Amino acid sequence: MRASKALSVLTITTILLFGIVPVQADWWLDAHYDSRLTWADDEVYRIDYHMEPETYQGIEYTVYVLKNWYESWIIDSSLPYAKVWHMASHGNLDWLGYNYLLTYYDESIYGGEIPSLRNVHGGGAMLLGFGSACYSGRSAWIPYMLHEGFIDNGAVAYMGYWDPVGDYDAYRFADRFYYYISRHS
Amino acid sequence: MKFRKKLLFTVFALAVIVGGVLAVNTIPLREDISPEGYPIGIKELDPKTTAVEVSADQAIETVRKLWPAPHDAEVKEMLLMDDMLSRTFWLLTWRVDDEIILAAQIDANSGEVFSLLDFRYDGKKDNLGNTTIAAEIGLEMLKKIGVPANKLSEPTVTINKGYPHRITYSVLWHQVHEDLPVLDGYVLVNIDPETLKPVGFAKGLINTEGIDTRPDVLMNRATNVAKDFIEAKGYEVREIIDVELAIGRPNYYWEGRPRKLGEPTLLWLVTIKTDLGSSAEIWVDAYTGEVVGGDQTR
Repeated sequence: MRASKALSVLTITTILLFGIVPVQADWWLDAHYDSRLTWADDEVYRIDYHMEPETYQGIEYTVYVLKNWYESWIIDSSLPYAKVWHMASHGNLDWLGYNYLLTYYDESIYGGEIPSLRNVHGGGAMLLGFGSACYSGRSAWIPYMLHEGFIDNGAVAYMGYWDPVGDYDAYRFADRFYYYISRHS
Repeated sequence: MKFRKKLLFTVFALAVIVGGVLAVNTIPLREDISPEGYPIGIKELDPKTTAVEVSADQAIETVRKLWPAPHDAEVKEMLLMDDMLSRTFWLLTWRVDDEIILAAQIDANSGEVFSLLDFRYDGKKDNLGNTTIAAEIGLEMLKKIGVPANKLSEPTVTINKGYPHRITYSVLWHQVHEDLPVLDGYVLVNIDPETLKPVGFAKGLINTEGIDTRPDVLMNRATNVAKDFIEAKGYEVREIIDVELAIGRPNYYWEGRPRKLGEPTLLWLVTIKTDLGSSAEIWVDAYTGEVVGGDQTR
């Protein structure tokens, strides 16, 4: 009986620890990309290269390269947990003037859909959301453009492009940006 | 009784395990791919093991001759490599209390200062209020950094209020060669509107010497090459948006992965709207008819 009880307690403890320990161990940097774009995958690998050795508050980043995620996965399983969130994808403006990011499946992510970013994986708020896509940084008189979705939900900073951006330029900018904010700076 | 308790614990433990497995499987898998090799970009080099024509001290001296660099500030230097542009350069920063007050980039082989930013200005008042005067001040700066104005288009002036409480006028020229645009060729001069003095510049001029602006491949053929090319990639052509002659360095965009840029050449830039809704640019070499680069809007 005692052996059995001990075994059960050990099993439960082990399972719980497997769930809890990594939660405190690292910051998540979620780097999404749309594989229809020729250089978007290289962009997120560059982020991985620059940021994986980086620490913030003494805690290391783990970079997750995430290919062609669905909108619901991004909203439910990526945005609320990432300390730094990056998306290399298409973006656009709708006929009302709202900007949005597009998934590989042409699903739209609007500013109004951004969930709370105040308590990400490891604690604290998201440090940076970066929409590496056309129009992702456009502002307008109407509420709930993308930047407001991020900032109003707790992100410390958000960055995007006002105008259309080329895949080539976006790759080049992201490479430099993450290089200079990483440990090399 | 003992058996029932044993059974209960076992069932409970199994339920926790099964629950855990189910919980893990309902979360999308995190795809952590290790690429075969990282693509090229910017990286740091070790000055002790990298041979360059211009030392860090020489680079500092070059900046001092061009700009009033502070003598009481700490200078930090980094040797960097831009793989895509095939350029090795010094990034120099002058700091006071670890705050950067001046930054400059110098080509580590030619000694050219290609960008400089001076942060020692307030920019609180706009005593300029006039883009024409800004352009004139910018023109004086062009002479100082040795850029002939006949290589450039007419300037455009924008007023930036990006820094909190700091206004900057930016004068931008695009490079031209015999009236053709030169891709990524530019000069930018920043001006403090409070003191009417330049507070920085950046230049990225492409060597266009000897480039013949008469194409061997005509516009129609270049357009057809681009259409066939993009269709072979699996895109549907909806509309030819623009076809323009320009000078640029091939970026081999459509070959899949970032590569070093090629030597400057004459290009047909064919912009096509595809079934994806975004536009695709195909660069056709105007001498050979080969596709040597392009871009896609995001």
